Amino acid sequence: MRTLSLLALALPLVAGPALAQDSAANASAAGGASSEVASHLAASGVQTALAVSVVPASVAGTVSMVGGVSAAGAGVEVSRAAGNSAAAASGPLKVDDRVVVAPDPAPHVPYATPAPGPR
Amino acid sequence: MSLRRRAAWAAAVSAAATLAAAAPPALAQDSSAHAVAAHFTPEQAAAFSKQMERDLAAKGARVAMVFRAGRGRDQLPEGISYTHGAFWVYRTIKTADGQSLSGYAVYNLYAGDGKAWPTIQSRLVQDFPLDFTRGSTVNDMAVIIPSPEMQRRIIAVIDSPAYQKVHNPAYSLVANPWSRKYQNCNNFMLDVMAVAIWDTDDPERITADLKAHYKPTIVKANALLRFFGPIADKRLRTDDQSGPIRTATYESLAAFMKDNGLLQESYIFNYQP
Repeated sequence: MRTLSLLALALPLVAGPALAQDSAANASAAGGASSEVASHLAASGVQTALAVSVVPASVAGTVSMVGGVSAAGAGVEVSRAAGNSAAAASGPLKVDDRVVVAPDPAPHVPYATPAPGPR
Repeated sequence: MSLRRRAAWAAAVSAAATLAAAAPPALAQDSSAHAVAAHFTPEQAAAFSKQMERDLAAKGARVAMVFRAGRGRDQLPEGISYTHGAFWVYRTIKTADGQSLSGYAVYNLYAGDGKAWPTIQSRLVQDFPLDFTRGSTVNDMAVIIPSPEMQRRIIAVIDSPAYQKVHNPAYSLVANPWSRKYQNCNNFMLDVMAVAIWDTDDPERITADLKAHYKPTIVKANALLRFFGPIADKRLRTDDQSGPIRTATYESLAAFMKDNGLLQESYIFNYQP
């Protein structure tokens, strides 16, 4: 119960706007608040995500898109991408029971907000 | 699941629900950022998101295209059952307390809500399954699991600069996939698939290939205005259309993938109370 009370107190910090994008000093303060919230959430069993890993190279496959333009044009058959599905299939995957949340899933800075002036 | 794990799960859901309830509500009729619908309680939305994750994992899906309905079915035009789609990608998620969890991260194109950014612009935002199910107004979601070869290719595209390159921030609710002028969430997923299929990130080539192979959903204009008009404001832009109104939907994406051997399976996933 105590944990949930702490969580409730901390939630406005998660839900509210992050207004510290353009100020190093304020950004530091916001980071501290986020850490506090994250620790409360973790104590309650909810995991706050910090990062998502890139996929292992063995899974990413063979397509290299970076800046590339292939010789394929309109009307080229799609079948090349169909591949050998049976050979490439993987087995069941493991999913953790814990619910993951992002403290700031989308930017909250109003687009019309002017940049802070010089100090 | 053991009693101990059930208790831990219940505590986690409860805490997640509290967090979800604290977030500001928003309309959920389309791909708007921060969409929260009143259909599910936060606890139910958390459970639904985890049910979907487990189902995908059991099928060995490293990436899937998942679709939700942000408006009731009686408020959607004929032939359109879902209003927002995104890639769910199996990832290792690093948590604030230093753990590594296995689960899905969600890769969205979100239109602005008019507060964080304009409604006629979109951004690419990665969030998590709970964020997705909170915006659902019905008890089901649609799923497209690409063939394993396509899964590998799509993940490679998502992790490459091509993912950003094919994003067009000019947003329309009914963007035409045969035109480059506007884009919505489903058109974006289609473009990412096109990069994976044809091995090109050239927008002109992608558009030409889609015209040759992809058959969009035709939306009846009367239905469009009747259903979307009252709420659509600036987002209902149709000046990229010539003739019938074409757009990408779950239905036409699934048909395209099935017809071309790119599909492992597509299905409707129901919430299990």
